[in-house]
Amino acid sequence: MTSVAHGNLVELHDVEKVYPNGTRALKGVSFDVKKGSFLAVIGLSGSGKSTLLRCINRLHEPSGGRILFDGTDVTRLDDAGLRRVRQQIGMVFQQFNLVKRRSVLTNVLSGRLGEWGGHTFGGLFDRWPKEWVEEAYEALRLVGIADKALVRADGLSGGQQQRVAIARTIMQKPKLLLADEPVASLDPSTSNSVMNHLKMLNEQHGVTVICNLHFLSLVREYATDVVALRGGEKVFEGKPTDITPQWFKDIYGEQAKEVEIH
Amino acid sequence: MRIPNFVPLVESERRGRERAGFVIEVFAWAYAAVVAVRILYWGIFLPRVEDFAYDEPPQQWAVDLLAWAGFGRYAEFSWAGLGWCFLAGALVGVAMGFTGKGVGPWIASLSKLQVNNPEDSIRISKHWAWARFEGVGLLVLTVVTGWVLTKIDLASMFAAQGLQGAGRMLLQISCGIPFVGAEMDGVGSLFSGIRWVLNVGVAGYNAVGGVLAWSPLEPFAQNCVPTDAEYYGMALTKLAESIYLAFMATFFAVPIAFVAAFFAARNLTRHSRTMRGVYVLARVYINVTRSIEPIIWAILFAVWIGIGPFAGSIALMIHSIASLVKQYSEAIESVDDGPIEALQATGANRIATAWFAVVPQVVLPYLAFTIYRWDINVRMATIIGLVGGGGIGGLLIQEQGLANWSKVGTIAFLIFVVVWSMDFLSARVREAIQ
Repeated sequence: MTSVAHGNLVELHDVEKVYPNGTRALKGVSFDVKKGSFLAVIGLSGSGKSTLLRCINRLHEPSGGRILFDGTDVTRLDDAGLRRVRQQIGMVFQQFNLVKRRSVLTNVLSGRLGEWGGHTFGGLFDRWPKEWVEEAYEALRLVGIADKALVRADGLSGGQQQRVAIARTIMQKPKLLLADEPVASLDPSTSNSVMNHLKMLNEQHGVTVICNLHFLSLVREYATDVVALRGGEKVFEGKPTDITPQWFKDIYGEQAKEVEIH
Repeated sequence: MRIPNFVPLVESERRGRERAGFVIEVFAWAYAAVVAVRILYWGIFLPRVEDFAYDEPPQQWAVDLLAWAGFGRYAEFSWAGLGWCFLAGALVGVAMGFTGKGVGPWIASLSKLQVNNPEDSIRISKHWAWARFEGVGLLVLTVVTGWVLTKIDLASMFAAQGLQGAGRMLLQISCGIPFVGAEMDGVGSLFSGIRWVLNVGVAGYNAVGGVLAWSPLEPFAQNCVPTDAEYYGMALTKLAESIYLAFMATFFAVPIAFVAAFFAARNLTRHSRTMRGVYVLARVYINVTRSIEPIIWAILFAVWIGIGPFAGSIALMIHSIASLVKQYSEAIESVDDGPIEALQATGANRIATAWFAVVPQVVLPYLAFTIYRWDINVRMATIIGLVGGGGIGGLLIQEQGLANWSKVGTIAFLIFVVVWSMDFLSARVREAIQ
């Protein structure tokens, strides 16, 4: 439990990932994530950002190294243990990943499915508990779309869908939130609203956030810490203010030019 | 063996495609050699030579050639002979394969990729010149073989006896269709109209036949005795039996297939060795049961539990389960992975993930497949009666055995009406839910 004493929620030690086709997506990445921080992971497409995030909750199985979450080595857990850890880790995706043919409310409630593990047939024939429904409405109120609760998820705009996805993670009451390019398929103004909701979770609910981002302007505005990846290796770790034009060129290559988003 | 670089291929697949092309080339030549020797030489050429050998007096060269080839009235083409032909052809194929210009590499190189450089398209066209030649050769060879094997005999289509019989049967069958035999005021019946048309054909045939010295046809003189109402009652009862047995087969197949489909979908069974084993078992099961026709199942169950609709319905159910599992699991395999990933990330177990992330995505395709399956089952239920599976098929085979052609016509008409309306309805419903 030393890591908890240091105030680290997540520690990565030499995490490696080799895909079955031989691609080495992560080549020994190590860093710590402090409790309550908002960590941005930056890097080009294909630099291993998504893989890194998915290794933390083992949606992708890491091939080597250790990942500590709240003092537990995630890489050594069995199925049941992994599900218990996953209940404490929320995740939002670039493509929102809602069940499109179901109502917004059902989508939000499904954030609690982890707690249904003990029920017969995985809770297939059970109804949602009343308190949960209350909480789901509360979560929707937090992200500002409680009025859409009974609308089918595919009837919402991209930004609204991402807010539903955030409400789904709120239902988990997570300690950690993994956000895989949460704004990459949204327009600039919606992007800011979604990022603000993540920031709100981070600051008011004490949720630690690890967020893959493309735009440095967003990193400077929202993140407290930055890790940069290139070709599966960590090339930078520090504060957003430490990113100099030279660093930027190192991370994104000589040809790159910073694009602003406000 | 190499496919040149200007042929557009996904680069990572180029080696595999080259290998596939080589194999196809080898088999194409082996096939050509076997067919050429067995059909062209042994099946067409040598029998013609034999005609010369039986001339009076026998032609010496033909007798010698037959003796050399080992061909006679009772000669059988040996398996060893086939093997040698195959081997010889395969050797030519290997040689051709190394040039990389044959029909095999051509087929293997077909892809959806665009040619970017216009000059390349000319080079590609030149490169496959020989392949086109080979391809046309193979096609001609296959058509000739097919012609010989199906014993196509155009002359038999104009033989007097056959025409006479077919005409009589056509009249009888059409007599069984409702209202065809009914007399209308002043104009006679539809049946007499058909008979008149056929007799015009007979007159035409006899006119041409008189010149060519064919044996003449007799005009059709039979009358129609329409099927009585009582018989309709019985046929409709049997038809209802068919429809309901098809429904029962579908109804009981759906829940079983619904559960089994999850175990037969690749994307849900990847995570552990046990599940991969279950997946393989499920696939083997559906492929085996599906490849055995329902009519065979019906024979089996007719022996097992006795002739009747129950046997037919179980046979249809067995087949339906396999087909539905296949279609359902393919629907599962094509769902969006995103929601599955998202629910796994919340710590949900696999049953909950399947129920909340997969099922909502597959209900509509399932509905469409299920309605289509019922439609198919109704069609098959009429056939399955032929071998003792109950329903109208049994009646059909009975009347056919007694040569009651007008009753066969009645039954065929009823089946037509049901199949057509099922087809229409199911198409409409499937259209509506898309």
